[in-house]
Amino acid sequence: MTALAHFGDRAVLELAARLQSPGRDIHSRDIHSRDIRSRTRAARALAVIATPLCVKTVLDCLDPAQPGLEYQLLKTLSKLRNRESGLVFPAERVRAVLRRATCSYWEFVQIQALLPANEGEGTALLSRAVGEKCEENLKRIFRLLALIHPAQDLYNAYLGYVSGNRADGGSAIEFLENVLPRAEREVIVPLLDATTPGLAVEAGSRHFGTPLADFDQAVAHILQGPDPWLRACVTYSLAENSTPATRAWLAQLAEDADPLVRETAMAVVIRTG
Amino acid sequence: MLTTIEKVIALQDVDVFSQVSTEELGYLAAIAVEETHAAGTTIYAERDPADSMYQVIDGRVRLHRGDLEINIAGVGEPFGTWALFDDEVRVSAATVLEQARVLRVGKEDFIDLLADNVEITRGVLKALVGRVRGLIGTIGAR
Repeated sequence: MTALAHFGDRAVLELAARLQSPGRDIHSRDIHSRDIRSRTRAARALAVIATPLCVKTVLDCLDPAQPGLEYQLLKTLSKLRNRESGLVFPAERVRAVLRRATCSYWEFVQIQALLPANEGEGTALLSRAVGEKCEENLKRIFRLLALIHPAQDLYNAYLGYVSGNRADGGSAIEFLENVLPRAEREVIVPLLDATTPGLAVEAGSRHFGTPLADFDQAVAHILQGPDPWLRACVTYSLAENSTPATRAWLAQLAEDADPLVRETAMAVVIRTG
Repeated sequence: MLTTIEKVIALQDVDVFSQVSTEELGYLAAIAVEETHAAGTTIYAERDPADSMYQVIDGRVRLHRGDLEINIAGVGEPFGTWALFDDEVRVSAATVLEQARVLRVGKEDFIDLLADNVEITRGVLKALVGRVRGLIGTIGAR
């Protein structure tokens, strides 16, 4: 793949075809899939070629239905930004992806807040998995911001925000308030500055609509989403959080197209009788 | 038989995997094999080639050098973890005290997994660095 990179723009279309070929997310459970390796390497090769066509190609390949691949491609965009400071990232396209990442972050904050307070291992796993998705979306937000604003400063702001140090976190928020244009600032800053999940949910609902009301809606939201890992985790947690609505879903999930979800649902059905 | 998710729930308690995300642990779970050993079975002997790490799901496993007992691995506890990281022979034996169900992660599968998945490599390194930092902190406090 590195050799392919020496062909420059002549190789970009071929690499794009590799990225898009199977239409399945790279987070497939098929861990030894050559396809996964090939797609990851194609993304790396685009970062080495580092031309405007690579930027356009990577942006074209961003697909919300494939969150695993999308995250790899956001990393590729960051690498392109670091490798060639002269590359231009079309702000409007980046902002559209940024809005999606921010909305996704808001949704995961809500889901985290709606998880039942039981001590079951399934609920604990789901809580950890949702927390990881929150972190991942936070990284997406900062990576995207760094494409259209000073990259090093954004990276420092990210480190400050996640440091757990109150003063550094405050400085990061203050930096965002000063550097972001109004449209971005109004959506992102109140969400990140919220001191409780409730305040974060309220801040996001001003821009993204009605929040999820209860655990059943949170479950439905995950099950309708594209992430097979979260779908499997939520399915497993249903053994501990059974409601009439969730029992109805289990039967469907036992027939799911994703093998991990199907395996988990069948185990839960057997366990809950 | 444990499902993939149940293996992940177990594996997240293994120290060296503590910094690996649950999703990445799913890949690890895919190579973790469930085995049952009767009481008295030697899972491995001293100086055996070290080719796998284990985690106890049920039962108890005695780790010992000859008659010298080093540790007893109970539910959730890993043993033989170094096997994943070097090619040295086993420094102790592992003998089943009570019928034990274990998860076994083979070194070759693990190395293949690391080669394909940089996020797992990063998580494992983070945990190992955390261990070293902890040791330095302990020495510094003396």
